[in-house]
Amino acid sequence: MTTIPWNEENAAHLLRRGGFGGTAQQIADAVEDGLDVTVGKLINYESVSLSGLELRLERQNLDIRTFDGLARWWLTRMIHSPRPLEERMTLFWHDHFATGASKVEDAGLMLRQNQLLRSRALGNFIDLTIEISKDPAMLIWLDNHTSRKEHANENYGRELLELFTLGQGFYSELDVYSAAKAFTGWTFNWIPLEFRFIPEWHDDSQKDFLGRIGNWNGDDIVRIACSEFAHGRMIASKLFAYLAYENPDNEVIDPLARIYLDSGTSIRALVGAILKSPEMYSQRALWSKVKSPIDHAVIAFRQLLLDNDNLIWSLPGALAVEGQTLFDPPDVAGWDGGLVWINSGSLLTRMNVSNGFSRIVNPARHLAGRSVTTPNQLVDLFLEILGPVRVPGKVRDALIRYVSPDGSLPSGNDLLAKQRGVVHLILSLPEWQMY
Amino acid sequence: MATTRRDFLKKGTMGVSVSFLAPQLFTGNVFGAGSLPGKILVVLQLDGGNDGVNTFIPYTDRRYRELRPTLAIPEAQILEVDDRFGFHPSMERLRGLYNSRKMAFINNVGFNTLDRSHFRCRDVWQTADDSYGQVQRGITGWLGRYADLYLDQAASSLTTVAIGNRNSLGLSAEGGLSATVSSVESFDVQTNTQFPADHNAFLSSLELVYEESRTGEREEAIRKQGGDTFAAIDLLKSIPPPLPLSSYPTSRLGRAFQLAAQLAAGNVGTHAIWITTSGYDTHSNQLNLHTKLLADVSNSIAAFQEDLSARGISDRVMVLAWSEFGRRVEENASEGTDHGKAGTMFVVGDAVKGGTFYGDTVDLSNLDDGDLRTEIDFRSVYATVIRDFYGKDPEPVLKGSYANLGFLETGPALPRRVRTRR
Repeated sequence: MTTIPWNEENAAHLLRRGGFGGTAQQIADAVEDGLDVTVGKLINYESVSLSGLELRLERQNLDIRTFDGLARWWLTRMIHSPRPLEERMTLFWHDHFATGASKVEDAGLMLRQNQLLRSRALGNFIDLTIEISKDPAMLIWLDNHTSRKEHANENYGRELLELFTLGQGFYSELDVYSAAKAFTGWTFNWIPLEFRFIPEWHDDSQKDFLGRIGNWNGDDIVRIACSEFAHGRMIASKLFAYLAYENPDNEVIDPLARIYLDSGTSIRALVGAILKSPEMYSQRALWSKVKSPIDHAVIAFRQLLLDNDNLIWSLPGALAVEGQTLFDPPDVAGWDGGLVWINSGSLLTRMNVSNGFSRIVNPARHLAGRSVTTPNQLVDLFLEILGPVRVPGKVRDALIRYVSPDGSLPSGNDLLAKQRGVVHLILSLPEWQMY
Repeated sequence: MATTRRDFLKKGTMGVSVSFLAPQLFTGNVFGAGSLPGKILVVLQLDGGNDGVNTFIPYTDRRYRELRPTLAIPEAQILEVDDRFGFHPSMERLRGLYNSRKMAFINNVGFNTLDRSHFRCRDVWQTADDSYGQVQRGITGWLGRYADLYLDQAASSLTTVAIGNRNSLGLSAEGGLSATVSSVESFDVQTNTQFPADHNAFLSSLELVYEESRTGEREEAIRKQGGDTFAAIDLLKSIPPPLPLSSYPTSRLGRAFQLAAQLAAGNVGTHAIWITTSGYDTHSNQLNLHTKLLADVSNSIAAFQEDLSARGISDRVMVLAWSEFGRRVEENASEGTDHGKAGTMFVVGDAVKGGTFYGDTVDLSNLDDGDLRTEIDFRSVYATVIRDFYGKDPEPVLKGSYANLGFLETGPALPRRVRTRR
């Protein structure tokens, strides 16, 4: 196996992708720990205490019965959780099993689904998918809660195959009908809030699904679909694209798909294999992805050591303009990602949100123990803290000239203006929209 | 702090001084001497798969009530237009436009490989390419290709505009970027109000860091988007305000059409506007949902037409509404309908030969696996718009020859060499 050079650049990359970016201290610690230990700490997060986070959430006194309150609750977790991969993966599953508030219309149901996704974020995919198939928010979202044998509702069966397990081209219309029949009678009760199976609504007939004939129920459908190699490939390539780089070749994906299927669809096994693969640290991977609006905001918060709950309060509105409303993805396929994130309105809003972040940066927290006496050093310091991010020489020159046209560092209030201004500029750079 | 952007903005064609000129002074001539004021196509995407059967309703087809015991609209409520079709009752105002011959339906529109997948169908409609499966790099949208072939995209950063917070694949071009605008008011760069004296230095530095081209493909794409965005800021400031007594619904869709009218009236070099409205995937509880959706569409478009007429520009603008597929004719047991195939499109505007429908009648006894059969390839609709509304040859845009459906007043003659190919 190729040895992976373990250095500041790769450690910072791992912490960006496997979490929401490391602080200078966290990156230094990861370099010290080595790759295996760092990945181990990221993926075996159950032993990390969340008591500090829970205290903070209590203090914030959020109204999680509203969707904005719920979004603030989750953003606080992403920003402050000592288990960054847990939140990163929960976000991945929210995008994968994309369910939207616009139709579910009940924040309590969305919270319940979010907790399900979090509790099984690195668990077993088949278990997760069976649970999601019984989840009230999903049952509403894809209309299965009213599906009866007289004429099955096809929505859940179709999207389960197209988007959740197999992908286009690996099932027929007959398979959609059969899956839909198998999920008839899967509904829920409001009081108490729980999954409910109504036998009288269920189609008990023999169903032909992916060439196998039987009196299949919903969980059979999930198990059969997830035994296909196409399923292994789909999940492996989607997670690889999320964590490493987009459009991977089959030679890279197939061994990962086998690891995943051989493990009985263990997400932890797959994520661990990806995070330790040489491809993860290849030039194709480093800085190759476009930050989502959430990546942009949460990584800025973490790397700039921002600790301001009021700013979190204002985030959901800005994220909506940037195209990412938590708990309300555009449709069941989730967010498109990539360059689709970048359009004139969203880019402008990223710049303006960055203004809000830079306004509360406390430079003393970053300058402690460092000698920064020139504009060059000031610019390089913030480029390092926020990455380390590489920019073209002329861009660095422009940042330095912004701090001082004559090479001497300003003082007092003028210095603070430039310190915050340079942060605002860096967060607005094309390079910083990448990660 | 909002920028006054004179010092910030680019020397480009649009320059800074647009807002200092009285609008009438540059009507039609800012974007190329002698060119006519541009035609503006407003594309309305009904996202999720609109149920054409309950939009323009074949209410006398006996199968209609058999297949839809709970979803069939009672005959007394249907807004009849003839002995075969009638409007959904929530579309009173659009029926008014139909009666005044400014609106037409096109029945049974689709394509041969329609597969009931939202995602593939949506991509096919936007790229006008049905060989197209997964999202591929470099694929362009049909209006993006139109812009590449026939428009000077460098002349305006608002050549094509998506209203909302997402861009549209349909506008994706090789030679330019479309703008994405959700509100004019917030479309500006904010600087740190703690340090007002730093304002100008910050803005000029921001401009500078977006000037240097990048080697990374994606970084360069973002850089270009930034440059275009800065240019669009001033241009957007020059568009006229909303009309005071307009009748738009307060919905997101109503506001989008209101902004579209401002853009059209602003003469800012816009040729195509994309508006997406969602919620059409009515697998359950369709009666209520669909009523609200169609009312919103009907009221928004009717207000838009009034707005355009009041501004005297209704001859330059038309609306084309589409959806990725129609829905299954037979209802499911959730009082909804599942994904189908062919659907119903509609067009609105002075240029439309309206008050009728195009394509054959809808036959609910002759279905394709429960769905309406495709009779008209959707590219014929695009071809008709490109030819007769824009006055251009559609073939290079659509990469093939498609029948003209004749639903528009005929546009200017094409150059002879092109005409001979038709």
